[in-house]
Amino acid sequence: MSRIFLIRNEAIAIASICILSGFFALTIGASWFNNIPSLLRDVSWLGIVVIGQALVIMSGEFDLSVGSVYAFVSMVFVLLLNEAIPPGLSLLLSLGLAAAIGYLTGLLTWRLKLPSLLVTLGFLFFYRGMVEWVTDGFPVTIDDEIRSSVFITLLGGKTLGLHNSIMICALLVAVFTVMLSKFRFGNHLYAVGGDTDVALATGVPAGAIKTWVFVICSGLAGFAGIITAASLSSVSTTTATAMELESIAAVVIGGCLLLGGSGTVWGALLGVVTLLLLKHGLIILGVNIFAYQVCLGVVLVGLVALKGVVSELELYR
Amino acid sequence: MSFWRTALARPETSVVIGTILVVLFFTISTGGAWLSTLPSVFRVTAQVGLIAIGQAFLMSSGEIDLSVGSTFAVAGLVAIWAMDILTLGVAPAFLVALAASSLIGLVMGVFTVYFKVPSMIVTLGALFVLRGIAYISTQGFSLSIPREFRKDPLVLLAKAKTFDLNNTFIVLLVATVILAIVLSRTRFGSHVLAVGGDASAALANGISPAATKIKAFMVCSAFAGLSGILVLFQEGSVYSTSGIKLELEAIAAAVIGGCTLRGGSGSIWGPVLGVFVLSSLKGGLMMLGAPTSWYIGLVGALLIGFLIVSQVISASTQPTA
Repeated sequence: MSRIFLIRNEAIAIASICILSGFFALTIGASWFNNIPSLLRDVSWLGIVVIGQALVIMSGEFDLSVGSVYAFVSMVFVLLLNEAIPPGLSLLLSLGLAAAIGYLTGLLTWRLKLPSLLVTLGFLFFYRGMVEWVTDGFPVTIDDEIRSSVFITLLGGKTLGLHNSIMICALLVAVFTVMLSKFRFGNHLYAVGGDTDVALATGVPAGAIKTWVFVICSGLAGFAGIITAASLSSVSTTTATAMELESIAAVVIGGCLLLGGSGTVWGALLGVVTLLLLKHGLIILGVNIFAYQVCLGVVLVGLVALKGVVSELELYR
Repeated sequence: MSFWRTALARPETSVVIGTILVVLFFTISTGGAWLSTLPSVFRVTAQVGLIAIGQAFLMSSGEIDLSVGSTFAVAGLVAIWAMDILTLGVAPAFLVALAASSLIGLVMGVFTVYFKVPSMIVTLGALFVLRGIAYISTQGFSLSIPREFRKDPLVLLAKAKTFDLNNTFIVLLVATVILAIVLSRTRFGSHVLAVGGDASAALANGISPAATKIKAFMVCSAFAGLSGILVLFQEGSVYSTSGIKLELEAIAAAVIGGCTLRGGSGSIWGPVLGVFVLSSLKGGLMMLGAPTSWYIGLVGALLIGFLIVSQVISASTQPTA
C-alpha cells in the first residue's frame, strides 16, 4: 500500500485534496459546501488551460505565454462578436488564431532550436502588450443583445446549477487522458519528452509532436479564455496575469516531471483542485488573500522537495 | 575576416548593434532632444541593471531566478523594519537588508541543490512567498523610511547626482566592472562557468557544483536586494507592488545581452546594455508620442527578435561539420 502511495506521482495531490477538503469542511461547515459549485467553475476554467500546459511540460518544454494568450484570444472573440459576426464563426476564428499562435511558438522552438522558456516569455509580453494596445487599458464587454444568443449561453451558461464549462473541462480531460494512454500520439509525446534524441533515432516525428503540443496548449488556453468571456461577458487587460505561474504550479503538484516524459492529464487537474481548494478555503475563512500566495509558494516547493527526498529514499532501500 | 569572425562569435554582438541602432534612431527622430533625457534613462537602467547583472551571473551557472522582483521588494521592507523596529541606523539597516537578501538566495540554492527541485520551481515558489510577505507587511499599501532617517547622509548619497549622473548609476557601473572581473578573471568565476557548462565534469575536476551554485544564488539575490534598497533610499517608500514583473524584464535583458539558459557562458556588461536598450525604448517611445501600451509588446517582440538573430549568427559562425 505504502509502495503504491510512493510510486504514483498523483498520490501527493490526492492526499492534499483529502486533507484540505476535510479540514475546510470541518472548520467552515455549510458555507464551504455551498461554495462547491463556484469552486468547480474556477477549477474548470483553469483546468482547461492546465491540460495544455501539462502536455507541453510532458513533451519537455514550457509555455509561459498561456495567460497572455488566454486574455488576447478572449479579447479578439469579444471584439469579433461586437462586430456582429455570428458567435459560431467568431469562436472558430478566435480558435484558429489561438492555434496559429501555438504553431508560431512551436515553429520557433523546434525549427530555430530556441529555448521554449524564453520564446514564450517573449510572447507573454507580446500578447499582453497587444491586449493593452487594442483596448487602451479599458475592459471590453460583449454587447447586451448578443449575450443571450444560444452559443454564448451554451459556452458560459449553467445546467442544473452547474456551469457548462465543468462538463466541457471533464470531457477534455477524458479525451486527452485516453489520447495519451491509448493512442500513438500519447506514446510519441512521452517518448519525445523523455529523450528527444532517442525518439528521433527511432523514427518518432519529434518536431511535429512538439509543434502539435504547442498548438493544443495555445488552443486550449484561448478556448478557456473564450468560455470565461462568454460567462463573465467582459475581458480586462489584467485578465489571467499570473496564470502561467499558477498553471505550472498545478501541473507540478499534479505529479508531472518538469524534465518531461512523465505525468498524466488527470493528475494535473487534481493539481488545479488542490490549488483552488486552498484559495477558496482561505478566502471563506477570511484569511488575508495574500496569505494564499505564501501558501502556494510553500506548497509548491515543499511538495517537489518531498518528492525528491522520497525518491532518494527509494534508491537506498 | 578573422576579426569579423571573432566579433560575430561574441555573445554581446547583437546587443551592441541593437544599442547603436536605438541610440541613432531616437537621436535622429527626436532631433537630438532624446539625448537630454539620458540621465533619467540611466536612472531606470541602474534599477533594473543591478538585478540583471546578478541574474546574468546566476544564468552563467546554469540556473535561473524568477524571484528577483519579490526579493527587490522584501529587501526594502527589511531595511525599513531594521530602521523602524530595531531602531538601527541607516548603514546597519542597509547591511541587515543585504544579508537578508543573501539569505533568501542561500535558502533557494539549498533547495535547488540538495532537494533536487529545479531552480525554476524553487524561485517561482519564492516569488509567491516573498510577494505574499510584501503584501501582508504593507497591508497592500506602502511603507516609508522613518522620518528621522530621511536626511541621513547615506540616504541623501543614494539620491544625489555626481556630474549629472545618478549615484545609483555609478554604483551599477562599478558593480558591473567588479562582477565582470569576478566572472572572467577569478577562480570563483571559472568555477561558476565550469559548473554551468557541465556540472558532472566540474565535479570530476574537484569543483563542488553544490557550493558554487549556492554562492551564485546568493550573489543574484544580493544584487536584487541591493537594487531594492537603493530604490527605497531614492524614493523613500516600498509599495506592495514594488518590483512586480521585474524578474521578466531582468531575464529579458540578460538574454538580449547574450546570456543563455544553458549556462557555461555569459556576459555581465551585455545585460547592462540590454537594460539600457529596454529603458531607452520606454522613454523614447513616450517622447515620440507613441502610447505607453506599446512598450510591453515591444519588449516581447525584441526578446524574440534577439533570440532569432543571435541563433542565426551563431549558426553562421560555427564551422560546418
